[in-house]
Amino acid sequence: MSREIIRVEDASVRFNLAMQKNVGIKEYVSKALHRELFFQEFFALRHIDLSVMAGESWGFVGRNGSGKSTLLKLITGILKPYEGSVTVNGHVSPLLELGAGFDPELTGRENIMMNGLILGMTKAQIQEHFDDIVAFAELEKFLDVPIKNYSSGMKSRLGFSIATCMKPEILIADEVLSTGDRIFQQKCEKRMQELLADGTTLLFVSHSAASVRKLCKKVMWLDSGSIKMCGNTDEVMRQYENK
Amino acid sequence: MNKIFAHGYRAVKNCIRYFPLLQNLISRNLKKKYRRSVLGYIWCVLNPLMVMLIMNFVFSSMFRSSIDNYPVYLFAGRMMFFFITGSTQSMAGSIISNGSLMRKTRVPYHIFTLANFCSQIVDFGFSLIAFAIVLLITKTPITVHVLAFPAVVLEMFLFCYGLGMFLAQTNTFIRDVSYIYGLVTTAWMYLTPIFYSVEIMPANAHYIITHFNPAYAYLQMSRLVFLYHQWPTRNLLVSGFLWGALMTVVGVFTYIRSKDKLILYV
Repeated sequence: MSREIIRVEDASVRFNLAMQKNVGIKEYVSKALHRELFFQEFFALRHIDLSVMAGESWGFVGRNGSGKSTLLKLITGILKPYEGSVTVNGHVSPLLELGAGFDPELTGRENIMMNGLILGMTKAQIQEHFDDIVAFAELEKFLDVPIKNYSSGMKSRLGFSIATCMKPEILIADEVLSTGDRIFQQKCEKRMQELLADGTTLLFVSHSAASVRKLCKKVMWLDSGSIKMCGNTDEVMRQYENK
Repeated sequence: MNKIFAHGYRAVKNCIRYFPLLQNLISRNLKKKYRRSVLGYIWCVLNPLMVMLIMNFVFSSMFRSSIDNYPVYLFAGRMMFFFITGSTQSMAGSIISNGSLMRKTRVPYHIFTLANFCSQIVDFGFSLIAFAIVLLITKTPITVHVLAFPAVVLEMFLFCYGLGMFLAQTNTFIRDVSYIYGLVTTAWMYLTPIFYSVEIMPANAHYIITHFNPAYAYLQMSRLVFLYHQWPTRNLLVSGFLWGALMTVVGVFTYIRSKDKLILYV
C-alpha cells in the first residue's frame, strides 16, 4: 500500500508584475495616480490539484512559461501558494537548475561540500559519497579548480551527481538533461531509473518527449498556468505531441 | 505569544540542523576574502594594525596633547566602531547576494545573514590580536577590569545582529537602503568619538552623542576597561544592553514579518 507523499490542493501562485520592474520616480507618480502600482497581478498557476503517491514518477510538460518550474518550486517550498495548500511528507532533493547553488569562486571539492549541506545532507554522508559523486561526474582531474572555470556541462554533471548520490526520497529535476552530452544524458537517465526502482519519487520537467515517455508513469500537461490534461503517460503524450 | 514560541522553537531546530552549513558558509566567506593573496590570513591582523598606524600618524599631532596613550585610545574605539559598521554593512547585502541560492534551494534565509555576521566576529577576533600587540608595544598593563569586556562585546553583538537583520530585510525590498546606510555610517563615524575626545565637543553635541549614539556606550566601555582600568559604569552597561535588546527585537520581528515575501524581491 503506497502512501501519498505530495498533495497540492487548489493551489494558485500569484506574482505582482509591478514590483519586478524598476520604476522611476516619474512613472511611480503616474502609476500611483492610476492606482496600478501595486496591482498588476499575474497568475503563474491557477487552481492546481495534484496527488503523488510514494514511488511514482511524474512528468510535467508544456510550453515555456506554462508554470512547470513554478509548480516544482511550490512543491520544494521555495514559493508559497497564494491560495490553496501544498503538503509534502518527505525529504525533497531539488534540482531546479543544474549548477545552481554553486559558488563560482570555490573549487569543485569545496562546492560538493557546500551543495550537499544545502541539500540537507550531513558532513559524514557527503564524505562517504564523495568518491561516488566525483566518479559519476567524471571530474577527478578538476576537483581543485574553481567552478567558474568549469564548462556548463561539467557544472551540470556535478550538480546532478550531488543531488542523486544519496537516494533522495523525492527528486525534483527541472530540465536536467538538456545541457550534458548524449552519453551523460544516458547516464543520468540510467541513474534516475535506478533511483525509481529503489522507491524514489520523481518529478521531472523536460521538453524531450522521449525522456518523459521513458521515465514517467504519469504526466501533467500545463498550459498558461492551468492543467490542460493529466493522466497516464501514453494518453497525455499522444495528445500533447499531436496538438 | 504561542506564535512567538513556535517561531523560537523552529529557529532553534533550524540552527541545529543547519549548523554545519553555517560553518561552511563562514569559512567560505573567510576563504574568499584572502584567496590568492600572498600574505593570506596575516592580513586579518596586519590590516587593522596598519590602519591604526596611519590614523595614529594623522591624528596624533591634533589630539595627542589632550589624550593620554593615544594609540590605545584610538584602537580601543576603532575596533568597536568598525565592527559595528562593518558587520551591519555586510549583513545588509547578505540576502541579495545569495539570491540565486534562495531561488533554487530551500534554506532558511537568515542563515546567510547569520553567516556574514559570524565571519565578521572572526575578523573582530583577529583585530583583538592586533589590539593586544598595540597594548604590548605601548606597555599598557592589562588589569582585572578586562573581565568585563566580554559582557560589553556581547551587548554590542546583540545591537549589531538586530540592526543587521533589519537592514538585510529592508534592503531586499528597497535597494536604496544600502546607499542610505552608507551615508548614515559616514555621518555616524564623525559623530562618534573615535579619534577625538568627546570632551572637546560643545555642550549640546556632547549631550546628544553620549545619550543618543548607541556606539558611544560600547566605545566608552571598551576604553574604560583597557585604557582607564575601571569597571564599566552602570549607566553605560544599561544603555548598551537596552540598545542591543531593542535592535534585536526590531530585527527579529521584521524578519518574521517579511520572510515569506523576501523570495519575490531577491
